[in-house]
Amino acid sequence: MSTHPALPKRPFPWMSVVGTAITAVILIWSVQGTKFNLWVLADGLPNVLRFFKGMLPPWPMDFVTGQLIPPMVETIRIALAASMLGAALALPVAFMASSTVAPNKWVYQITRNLLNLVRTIPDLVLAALLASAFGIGAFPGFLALLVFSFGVVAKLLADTVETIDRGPMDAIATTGATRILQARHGVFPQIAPEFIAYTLYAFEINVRAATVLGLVGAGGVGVLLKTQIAFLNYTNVGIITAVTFAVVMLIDTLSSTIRRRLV
Amino acid sequence: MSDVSTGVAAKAATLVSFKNTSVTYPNGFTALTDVNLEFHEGEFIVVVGLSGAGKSTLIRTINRLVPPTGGDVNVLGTPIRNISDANLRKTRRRIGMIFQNYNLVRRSSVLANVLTGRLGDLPTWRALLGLYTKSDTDLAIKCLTRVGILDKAYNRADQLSGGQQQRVAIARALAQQPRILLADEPVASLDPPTAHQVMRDLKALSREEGLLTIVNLHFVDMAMEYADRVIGLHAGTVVYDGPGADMTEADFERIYQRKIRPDDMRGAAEH
Ligand SMILES: Nc1ncnc2c1ncn2[C@@H]1O[C@H](COP(=O)(O)OP(=O)(O)O)[C@@H](O)[C@H]1O
Ligand SMILES: [Mg+2]
Repeated sequence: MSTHPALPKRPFPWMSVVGTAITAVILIWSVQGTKFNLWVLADGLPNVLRFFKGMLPPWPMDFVTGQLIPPMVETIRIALAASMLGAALALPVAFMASSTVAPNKWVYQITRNLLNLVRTIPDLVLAALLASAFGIGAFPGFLALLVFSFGVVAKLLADTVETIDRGPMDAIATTGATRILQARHGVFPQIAPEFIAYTLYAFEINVRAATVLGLVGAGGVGVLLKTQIAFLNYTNVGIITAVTFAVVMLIDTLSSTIRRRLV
Repeated sequence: MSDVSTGVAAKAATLVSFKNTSVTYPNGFTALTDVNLEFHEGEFIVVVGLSGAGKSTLIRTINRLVPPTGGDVNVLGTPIRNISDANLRKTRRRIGMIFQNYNLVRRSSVLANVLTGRLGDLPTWRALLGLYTKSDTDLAIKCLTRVGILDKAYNRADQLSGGQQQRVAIARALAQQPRILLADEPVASLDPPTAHQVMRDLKALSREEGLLTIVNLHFVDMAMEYADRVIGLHAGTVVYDGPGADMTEADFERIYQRKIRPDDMRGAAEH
């Protein structure tokens, strides 16, 4: 019907060419840093296969019940205690870190910044640090995850408190109740389901983290994993991985089902 | 109801007195200018005026949600302009407040909402844990019975109709055992029959408990129907103060800056 107007001349795509070149250089440089080597990969393959075979039943049940279950249970207990106590500590701090409830701008700013700081500490580094300070075992792992859970729940909850309906708080303020009571009776009932959901969320992450924490000496199933790797016992490593995977999956599914019903 | 006449109430104890009170908001806007008023025990007062006239500001100055910036307000024997936080809380305990949008904790039960009216009188540890005493619960039940929704005590607040929610809010205010009841456009979100029902409830409470009740209303006919005394506000100053029945067309025009119109009326009660 109509003739299209001519396209203007395409400019040379400098940006894409230069970008691709830079990406290629970075990729080669970084892969060299990993000492990537096909022969090493091939050499290790039988071990990997044995590892996967170990994941398949039948399992040596005396290993599972005698050596695997106790640290697995310990891992779950560490994760549970850390998330529940961390969340309990997070509750009042979350109130202080939200402009709706904080008594003044200073409290608000200081707690906000503190929370951001807490959340930048990697939990593995913290666990390693605590393990060297308090000795190897479940306790430093628990402490590390406590700090982590506190940070996560406090931040999420503070953001939730920002979005609540201020009305009930104001109404309770006019009855002559203190600000703490306004938060307790006017705000907390509004955020209670979210509070439980965030605690469960921290628990899910904690279970996964707690399995790894043992590697830096902080208790739980990771300790067993570390020794089995050290003894090159790939069958047992496979079993540990499979059981851990199953437990984490189960807890994730359960917990996220509950969370979805809550909020 | 008893044959107490409104004239008796006017001679009763003074609970609130505005003395050359002015309110200038932090942004520099002056919402009340040199207000002088005295409110007494048992009086049922309705404040009318255009939107922005300063009705909410006037009411909120009484419990110091808005602090006076000029003059002072004496509330239950205490000047409140420079009151301490602790004394303010003490004074507020005896002042109930009702809001246009109820301000209930929607996820909590009706009873839990009413019980929050008791928080100010509880020891802190009990209040924090929500450990109300038997007498608190008894009082809450009495208040719910008084507003006719005891059967909803264990319902979640957000399952109730607007009129029922406003009654829960009234019960919460009553649970404070107040001497003053403030209501900022309490019926603005309700349909006419429900609005009249809530106004009748408020009026009856004021009579029976000797409560000083101050209600902001948008509609003039409702003000005239229920008020012992009407306060007309325009641009932050009091331009009428007297019985609703005495209000002339000239008074009306001073308040609203124009002739009366049908939409200033909500319509008579369907008693
Ligand atoms: N927090 C505030 N800051 C500044 N101005 C305000 C504030 N609250 C109310 N105002 C102004 O004060 C005037 C009176 O408001 P208000 O008392 O709410 O009137 P009414 O309740 O009669 O509609 C209005 O012009 C309003 O915009
Ligand atoms: Mg208003």
